Amino acid sequence: MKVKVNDNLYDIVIVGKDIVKVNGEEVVAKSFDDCIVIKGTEFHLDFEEEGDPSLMIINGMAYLVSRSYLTEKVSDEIRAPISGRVIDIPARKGYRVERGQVIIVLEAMKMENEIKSPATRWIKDIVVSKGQSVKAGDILVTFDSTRQ
Amino acid sequence: MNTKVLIANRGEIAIRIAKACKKAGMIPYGIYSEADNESLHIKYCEGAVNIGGLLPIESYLVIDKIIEAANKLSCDMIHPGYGFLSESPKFAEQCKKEGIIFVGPSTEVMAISGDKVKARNAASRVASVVEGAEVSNEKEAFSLINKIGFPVILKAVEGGGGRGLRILRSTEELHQRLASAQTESMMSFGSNRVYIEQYLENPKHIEVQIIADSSDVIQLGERECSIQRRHQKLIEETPSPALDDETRQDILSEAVSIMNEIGYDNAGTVEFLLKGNKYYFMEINARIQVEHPITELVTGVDIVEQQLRAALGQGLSVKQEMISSKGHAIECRINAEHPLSFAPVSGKVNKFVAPSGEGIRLDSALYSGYSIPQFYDSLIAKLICHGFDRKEAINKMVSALSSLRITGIPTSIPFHISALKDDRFVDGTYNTSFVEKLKSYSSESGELAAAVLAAISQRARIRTVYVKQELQNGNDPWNVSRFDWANPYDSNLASSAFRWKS
Repeated sequence: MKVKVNDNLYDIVIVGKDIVKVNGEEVVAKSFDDCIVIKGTEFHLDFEEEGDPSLMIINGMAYLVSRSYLTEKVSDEIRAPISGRVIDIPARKGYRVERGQVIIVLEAMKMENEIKSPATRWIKDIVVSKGQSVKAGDILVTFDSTRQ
Repeated sequence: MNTKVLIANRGEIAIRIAKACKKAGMIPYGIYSEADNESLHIKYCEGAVNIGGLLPIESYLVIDKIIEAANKLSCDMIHPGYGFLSESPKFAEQCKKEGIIFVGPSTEVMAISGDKVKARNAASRVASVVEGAEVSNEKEAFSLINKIGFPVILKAVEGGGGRGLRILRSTEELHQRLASAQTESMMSFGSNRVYIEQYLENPKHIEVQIIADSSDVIQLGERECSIQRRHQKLIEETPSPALDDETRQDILSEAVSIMNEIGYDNAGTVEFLLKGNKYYFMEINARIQVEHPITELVTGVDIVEQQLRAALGQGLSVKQEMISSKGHAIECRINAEHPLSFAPVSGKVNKFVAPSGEGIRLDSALYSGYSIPQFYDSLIAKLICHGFDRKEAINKMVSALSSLRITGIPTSIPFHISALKDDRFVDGTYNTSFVEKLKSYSSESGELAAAVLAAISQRARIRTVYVKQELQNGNDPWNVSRFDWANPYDSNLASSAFRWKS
């Protein structure tokens, strides 16, 4: 997930409990209710504004946080939520898909997982083919960014 | 029998006064408006009367309601605090009529100090003043400005607390603002009299704390209050880093002369503007001031207690030669406001945890779960730190501010931390334009924490949406095969795992 704080972009991956990757570097961040501890320092989230960008007050200092940065960008593609094998591609290149319509079926953990469109979009390209193995995070389908 | 004191105020100052009353063996009573029935100051009083109303004009500014409450509780004295009726000669007069002691200067003194024109005339006999005069219409205003030139500052004659001030730089501005200033003054202070004087650009704001009784006038040193926004003080400190010893002695003795001149007889403040090493008398604040605690921390004198003594005719318990100032003290006024837009906010405080330690004082009426009403001042807490020197006081304040937890609402704390870390504050060269040129409100390590906290809260949001959606569709949201719980933070991945209704 990409987060913009003030003018700096951070790539955050929540690896597991209390461990996050910040711009590829592993950081231990123990979290409690409204508080995280990084390198022995407590950071208290005192206030978080609704909306985007939103103001955060942490330990009495203010930060302007934007999460929409990636949401806008990735809404032009669909990535594999889990590693698996593409077993079906009901969607067709150049065609419109409705929100919730199945685009790709991934077989993973001995289960069939339907990957559905998050919105009504036009498919620009289908990057994978039937039978192909994909890793979590691989791009499966791209949307036409000019038509929404 | 113990003296009963009605505190005609709300919030932190009402609590501050209640504590002083108890210390002096008096019994504090309170009043509260309809919007304040959850206010903490009520708990510090032996009893309190609901005077109704929401806006100040329906509640804390209604003289009759307050007198009625005082009589109902058979109070001997009324302490007005600051703001509201604290400098209203009419209110003091009414108290006198009812046989209630008003904690403040005599009505004769208030008639002078509360009137910017009279105060200025009195002060000009012993001190230098900025050129200006009262005006009642545009014609008068223009003829005055022809003499003194722009920029000028327009003030409500009976105003105070930084309200009712306007800086005018052109004839158009004067034309636009004069009538609205008169209307606003009428609404806020019950008088449409306004006053115009020469405006000094970026001066330093120095004030001298005075305590006096019928026979003695004592100064407790100066305070520097140059850090202001829209004429509202934000940070005050004592002693002022801007004064050399000689100027300090001059300004302090001048303040005493002015107060002697008008026969001042309670706690009050003489305000000056300082430009270079020249200073000009501004006004007299005939009340306890918001920033009085910094003076208390360096002198050890309880100013509210001295007010009560002077009002009761007991006389001050200190003499000038007993006063010495130790170390340095700073106050930060914490407002409920958006730190970037400065817009005041009201709402619920989820958590309130005060910092503690040697030389740290917090005057506040907050408590966890308190809802800040929208009808009054946005000041919610005053953090005051005392150090053996200025540097220690600053460091203590920064650390106290970062450990002060007020959650659920935005506050001006980021402003304060940023200001205290600013080079111009650290070296003491700031003036009243400081606020407009402030740099960042953030710190580097905090920025990383903000990014991580944002990611965590975003993930929580996605989970909530996902679970809701699954339940709505009659699915089992906890079926891990349908949702990658190891990677649920990516909104796109998460949304593709949703089973939308078709």
